[in-house]
Amino acid sequence: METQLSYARRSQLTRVLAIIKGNKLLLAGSLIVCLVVCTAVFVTIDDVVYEQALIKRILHSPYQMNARDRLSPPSAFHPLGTDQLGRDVLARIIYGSRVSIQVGLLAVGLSGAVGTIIGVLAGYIGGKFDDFVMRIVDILLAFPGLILAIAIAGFLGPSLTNVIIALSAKAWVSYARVMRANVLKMKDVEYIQAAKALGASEARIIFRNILPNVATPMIILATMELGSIIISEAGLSFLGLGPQPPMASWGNMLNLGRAHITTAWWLSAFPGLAIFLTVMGFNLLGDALADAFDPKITLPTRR
Amino acid sequence: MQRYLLRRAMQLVPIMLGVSIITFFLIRLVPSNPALAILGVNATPDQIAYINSTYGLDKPIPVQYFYWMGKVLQFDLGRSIVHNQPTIELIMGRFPATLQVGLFAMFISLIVSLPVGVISAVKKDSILDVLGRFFAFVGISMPGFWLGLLLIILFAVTVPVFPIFGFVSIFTDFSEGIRHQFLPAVTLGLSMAAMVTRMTRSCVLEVLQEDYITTARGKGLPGTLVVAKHVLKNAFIPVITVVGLQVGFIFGGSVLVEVIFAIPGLGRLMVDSIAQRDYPVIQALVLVYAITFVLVNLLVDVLYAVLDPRIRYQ
Amino acid sequence: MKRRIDGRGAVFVVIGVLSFLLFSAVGGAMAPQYGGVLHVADRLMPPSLDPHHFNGIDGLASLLPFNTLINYNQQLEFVPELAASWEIVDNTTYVFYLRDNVEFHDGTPFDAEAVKWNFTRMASEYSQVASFFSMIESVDVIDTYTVQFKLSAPYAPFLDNLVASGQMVSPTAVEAMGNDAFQKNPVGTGPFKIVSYDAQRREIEFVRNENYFLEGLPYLDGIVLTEIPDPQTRLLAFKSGQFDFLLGVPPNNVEELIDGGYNLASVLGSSNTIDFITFNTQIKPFSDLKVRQAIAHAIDQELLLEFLDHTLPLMGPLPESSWGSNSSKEPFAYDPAKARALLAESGYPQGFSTTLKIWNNDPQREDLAVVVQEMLGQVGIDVTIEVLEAGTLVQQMMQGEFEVASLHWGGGGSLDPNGNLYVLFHSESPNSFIARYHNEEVNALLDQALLITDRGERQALYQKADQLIYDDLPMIWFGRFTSYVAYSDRVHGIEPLRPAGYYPDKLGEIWIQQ
Repeated sequence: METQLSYARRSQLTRVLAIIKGNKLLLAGSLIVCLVVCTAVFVTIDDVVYEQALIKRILHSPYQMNARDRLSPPSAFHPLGTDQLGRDVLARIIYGSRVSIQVGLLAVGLSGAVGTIIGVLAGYIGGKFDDFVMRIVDILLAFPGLILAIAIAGFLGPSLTNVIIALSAKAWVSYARVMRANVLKMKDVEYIQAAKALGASEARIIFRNILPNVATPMIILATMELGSIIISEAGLSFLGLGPQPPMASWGNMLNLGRAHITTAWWLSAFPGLAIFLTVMGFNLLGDALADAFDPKITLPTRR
Repeated sequence: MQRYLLRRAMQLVPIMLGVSIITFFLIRLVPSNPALAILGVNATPDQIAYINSTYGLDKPIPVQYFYWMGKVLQFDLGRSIVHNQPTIELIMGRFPATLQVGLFAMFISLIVSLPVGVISAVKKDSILDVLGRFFAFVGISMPGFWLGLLLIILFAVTVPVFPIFGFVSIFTDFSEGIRHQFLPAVTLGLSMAAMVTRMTRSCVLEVLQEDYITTARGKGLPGTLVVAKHVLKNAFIPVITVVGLQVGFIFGGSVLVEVIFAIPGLGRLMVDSIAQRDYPVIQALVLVYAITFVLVNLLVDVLYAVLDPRIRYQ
Repeated sequence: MKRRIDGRGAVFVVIGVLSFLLFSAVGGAMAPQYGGVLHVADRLMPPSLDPHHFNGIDGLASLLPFNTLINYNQQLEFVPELAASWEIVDNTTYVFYLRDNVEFHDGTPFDAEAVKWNFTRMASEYSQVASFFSMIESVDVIDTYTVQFKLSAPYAPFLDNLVASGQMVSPTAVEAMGNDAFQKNPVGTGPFKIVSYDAQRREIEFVRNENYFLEGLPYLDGIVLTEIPDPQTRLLAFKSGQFDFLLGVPPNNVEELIDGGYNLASVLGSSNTIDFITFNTQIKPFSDLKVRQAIAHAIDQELLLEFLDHTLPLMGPLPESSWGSNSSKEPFAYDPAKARALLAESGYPQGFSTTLKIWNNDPQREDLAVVVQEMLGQVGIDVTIEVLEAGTLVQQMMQGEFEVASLHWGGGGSLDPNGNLYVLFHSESPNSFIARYHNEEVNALLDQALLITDRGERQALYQKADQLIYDDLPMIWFGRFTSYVAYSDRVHGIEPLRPAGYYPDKLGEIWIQQ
């Protein structure tokens, strides 16, 4: 059995490489995602370890204000212009990548973890617990997603943590469903039953036999969810329910840019473009991964 | 069929109960006070006590819930604290705007997405397909509110063809209604169009590969006829589901669109009511959103069952 | 009738007890013309047009159908309105002699009984203006057109409160339709009568009151107010020519509108609105005066105002224009070295961390917070900004759960210095939670100033209190955010301004060039 599995994995790896080489969309998606993630990592290091020293050297500090250089249009000195406090828009967009990626990863991670645990348990335990979980899932599915997120974020108050909670409140449901369905399917598979017969503990069966086999659809699902989470985060920030000043987030910048829409177009044009490209990257990647590994999964519809 | 309908309707009861409980308690978990939100710093203890007692906010939360639920069952969704008006009146007053924009958006998205999706699938890998798929990707990745801003810059500042604010009912003035709601509908409809395009394309592709289609082609039927007769009918069944799910997306998206284009719809009411802590309105709104969403999906499922009898027996 | 500092949504509405200052002069000696409808792009459609129950949101629409007994003129002196004259018999007795030619829109005559009925209504549980008239002991009808107010204790700003909150509504109309319906269908004595309150189209329509008590007025045939809550959308709609009058001009667009040839007016004028950063003076480290002084020296006020568009300088709790303001106060110089020294003296050589709370949806205040955060960071004070929904912020402040916060104050109900000094800084005031300030000497001065009706004597007391409070620094009074209205060239007669309101006074005298 072991050899069979590792053989399956190795052949998958070769397939991955072959597919990435041959698939231009996947390549483009991976490149965009890599770029954004690397930027976010750079920003985190620069901010936490060097206190913006690195970005100051190559560009400007995203927090540096300048009363005499407010709302200036794009120029060689400020490639994407400055905002109402004279801060460099490009530097702020670069720093804003951190919020998007952070919220995206944390919300997807949180909802993925919760959804996985609940889904596995529901599928594995079954019975009353399964019924109960599925009821909750049904109830949550009755809420239009963004409406629920706006209500939660609105009531908890604007902050990064609350955005993550608001966005995860319903998102875990899709993971739980996928997980549960897979676990139910796996339960009947011969080698699981064999493992059971051999006296393997339930935890061992879940961790060694079931989880690795449903990892692929989960990763694909998560990748595709990332795009819609990032858009939702920007939407909440746009309504003033997102992370708070002076932190730069793309949705926040768009919200402020809107106050200058007739006079300083660069304030609303570029942050929006950043959101658009990033989401596009995740969607391309997720879609191409799904195409390559699991044609049955399609992009989740935004709700 | 009747039994199927009955069974589906019965399933709604616990769901709606759960929805009402979650909505009700969610709002009250957070410490804030509608009296303060309304009257601000100058609220006197008397005024706070008056508002609290008028709206029953001084009672224990479970008591408040049962009181509220009892009213809801009599179709009384309470009174707005801010507007001092039955919430049901407020919601009914705002519903037409959201409905009109939403339906218009859905209409625009369908007339774009269905042909694009079908052509994309039938002419797989042609330049048309590439363009269609590109459109779908752009649409799905585009934040609606950003598109709205770009449209405002374009149409308000540069080419003033469409008005950028307000709501005119198509029943008062058809052409003005269309003109006013065009930009919001496009903003809201684009990402929906993108999603439906993708769904249509993959469904049509799947059906095209089925045996009977190959057979039909083998029999020498012309391609267009095959597509028209066999493919579309079967492919549109899953597409309908996606359209049903889009209702939820429209509700969410309409909040942002209504804020940007100053449309007096449900979404704006929602944002304002959250800001003003107008509990009765938020509760009623979330409930109405959820009921509408669930009912539309029930309708879709029923439609689905009509088109594909196998579903009923599952 | 602006009387509160208020939250979100109402941030703009609450700009306070204000007046207009003309930005550009209005056309010279043209004769007023009759006719025409004024189309106003408004910020918010008030959910209630009942002046006694406005539910936190009021606007131009709440003023059009009503009058008050007396009013201010441009010099902030009291002038007749529904009362032809009045008499202060002693400091607890006021007698008003009413005009005898006034009718409510529904034909009900306006007389002493109507006044008494109105003040009974204002004291009722339903009323939201009760606190402004709680000092009234009785209202007595002397004869048909004479009414006497007896106060339970001397209260000098009584007349100011009458101007700000004492709108007269028709008793018969209220009794016939009930409070709820009256909110959407107000009946008063004002220059304009309501035609429709269209909640769906978000429009309120008014028509000329043919029986207005001022002969020959109003000039306009009607006024239509359309709600467009989003400032940018509203601005664009105004610029497209669909409206003659724009309320709530976004500060960023002022220059743009001036360049575009529009007329602009500030609504700040001689009002007592102030914007400030307040400390919780009951808790460490802000209970230490030296810490507060250090913060004052660490903030470069001049540079700060450069960042904030259209913000007027401010020194102390009263604007310079107020007669209670003390002009001999010395500004705190920007001096980071001194700030650090003061911090070291009070035991914080390394500085400290604190949280600055502000309400949301107020971009200018957000900018303020960010700039102040940066400036205080320079002297070692590490500021975290926390943005809260307005109701939450107020509640937290009431419970003392704040260290530093920035708020707006609209004058506390009137143009009298009392509204800024007593209401904010007297230990007994219900609003004392804003600064948690306590100074017996200040309390005594403010108490005394309420007992005297002579303005000269009161002025001396207020100026002394102003200086004491300024020296104690319970707040950093950094400036006054300005709000503007804009109107097209066709609109005239905006000149007679209402110092105590947000909108033009003598609305009947606005006219449109045909």
